[in-house]
Amino acid sequence: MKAQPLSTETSDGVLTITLDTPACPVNIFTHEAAVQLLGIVGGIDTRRTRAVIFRSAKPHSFVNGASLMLASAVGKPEDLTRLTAPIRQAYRALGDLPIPTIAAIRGSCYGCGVELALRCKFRVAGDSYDAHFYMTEIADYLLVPTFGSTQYLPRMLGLESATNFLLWGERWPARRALEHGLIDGCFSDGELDAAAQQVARDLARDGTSPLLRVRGAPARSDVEAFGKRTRERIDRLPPEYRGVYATCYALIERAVLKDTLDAEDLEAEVQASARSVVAPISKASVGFFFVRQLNEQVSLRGAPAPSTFHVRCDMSAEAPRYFRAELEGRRIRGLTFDDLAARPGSPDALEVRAYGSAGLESSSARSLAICDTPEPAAPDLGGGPVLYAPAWRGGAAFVEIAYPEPAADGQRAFRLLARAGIHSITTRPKNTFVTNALLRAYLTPQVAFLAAGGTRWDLAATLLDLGFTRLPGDWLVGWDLDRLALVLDRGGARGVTGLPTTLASLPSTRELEGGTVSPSLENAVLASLLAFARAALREGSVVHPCAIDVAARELIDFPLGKTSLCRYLTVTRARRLGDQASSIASLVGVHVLDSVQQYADGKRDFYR
Amino acid sequence: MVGECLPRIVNAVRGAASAPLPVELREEHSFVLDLGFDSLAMARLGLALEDQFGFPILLDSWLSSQSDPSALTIGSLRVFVASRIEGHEGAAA
Repeated sequence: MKAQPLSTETSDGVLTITLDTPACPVNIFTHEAAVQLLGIVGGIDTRRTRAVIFRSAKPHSFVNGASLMLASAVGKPEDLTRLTAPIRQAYRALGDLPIPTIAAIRGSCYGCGVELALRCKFRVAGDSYDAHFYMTEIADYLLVPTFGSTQYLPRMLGLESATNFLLWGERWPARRALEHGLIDGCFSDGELDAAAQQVARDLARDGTSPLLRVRGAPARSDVEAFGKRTRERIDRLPPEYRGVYATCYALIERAVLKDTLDAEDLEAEVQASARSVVAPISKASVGFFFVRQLNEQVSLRGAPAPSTFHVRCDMSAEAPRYFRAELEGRRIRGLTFDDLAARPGSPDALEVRAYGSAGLESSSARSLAICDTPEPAAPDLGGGPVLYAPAWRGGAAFVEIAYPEPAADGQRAFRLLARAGIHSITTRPKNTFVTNALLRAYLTPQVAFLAAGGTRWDLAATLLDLGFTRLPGDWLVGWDLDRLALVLDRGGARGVTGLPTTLASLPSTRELEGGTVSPSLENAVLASLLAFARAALREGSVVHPCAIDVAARELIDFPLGKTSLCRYLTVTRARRLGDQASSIASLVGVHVLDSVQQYADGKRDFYR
Repeated sequence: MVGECLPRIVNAVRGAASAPLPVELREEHSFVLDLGFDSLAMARLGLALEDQFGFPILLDSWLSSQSDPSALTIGSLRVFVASRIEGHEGAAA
């Protein structure tokens, strides 16, 4: 008999519904789950069942989504209405129950998981990084949500919080979700289940519970002024992104301006979602999910997923200290730290020291070196895997795990960083870190453009036209630009005087007025990135194009609407770039033009 | 090579599945309805196919080729992979 995603248990008049998607590391609210939930809810006798708890059996996942295959398979807008009908019916049935309903959230609560929780009358969560809240739809897939969030969230959180969470993709851990009013209670992770039961009994008996925070009215905003600012921000997005963001914001604004929520509001959201899901840019964005998953599999190759991590950091050095502070701040389940110098560690501990430090001898094979500033010299991998994270202090959650041969400690580091929500790639760098090669490929044509008399405004307009939503001036904040200049100088930007000053002058999205798109610069940037990708694969610095894709997405914000760098740079596109060689020759080196030509002649795309 | 691709697809499907599979896999088996594949298993299938055929394959265009997830069958995957092999062999020629 096929395993069912939901199981139930009744105790003291409280029905607990537990989701455990069969044979899957995370919970997905599938068609089967929807049908089963409808049956369970339909069978509730409210004379005997006085409260319902919805929880997850998986410690790291409450609900991660409704299966992206659903979004992938929608060919016409009306398909979405049909395919999502069972889930919408199940959510509606849960929301219509006349007894207290509580979502007990442990683990990631994404997209339709948030929307499921919104249909419960109360939400409580465990206080760990695992329990974090994120609306994936527009931030990751350029889709308008389908299951009610644009209508419920603004009424619950107020205009500004709802917009930041829903439209701009803020990720909220449980405590922050409590501050914003998304949840009503936050408990230590070990107490969550007992607290949810107590809350259910309190609500069934008294209609209130002392364990829940009393929810105030959502903060009121000047809708007109906030709307003006939001629309201005939307106008600074790449042109093809603006439609879906504007549509989504219009739904949010509609919810704020109307006190009551009725079926018509939810239907308006479904129709907008249906239109967005068939747009080519959304289809392309959904494809990146598979690239990211591929990167994880290529990096881990079935390596075990430990439930606990013990990390020993060299607290005498700045980089390991920062590493520890960053990870401790994320409150990861099963992660413990101590000082490398304090006492002998367990054989399974990961030891983290500063890259290039010679002071401490490794007491274990599980030793990692961390480097969090740009490193222009050739990688030294003799001491074990290196966590190369020059973007870390600038706020980018991206790490290159470099090691000469596949190693268990590198894979363990990948698992740990993934648990912390930090994206990694594994590399075997030769003359320079892959991160450096990517930065050079992306920034060198821009520096050359400015050196040749191009303006920052034209540069900004060009990158925006390519689809970049964040520009170098946005993400280079906090970087050591002197050291970054040394990295770039080895890549062909030599001869540009005052390189750190030039890097500091690269534009951000705050300064977009009046620029003119430069087709030559667009082609130069793409040609340079293409040459980088080919070189990294040919020399074996990366073993798979998906690593290049994840690096390009996380580090330079390569546009989601193009799926991924290697997906976008097809042979056909390379031929077009080759036709423009004469116009881009002044912005890129000869080796770039040669590489583009060779790729165009080779006839094989990075992906088939 | 195209004619030989079904056994290798079956190997890849068995390697990527997390739910128990039928003893015999047939072209009409639906990944969603019959084989218990979700989007994570589909991502594993991409890598398993790469291991079988020797070149990177992204399945997003196959996934979006059907108007209903239940229509994603082993047979439709065979047709998709065969088209990629033909392109690959054409490029190599």
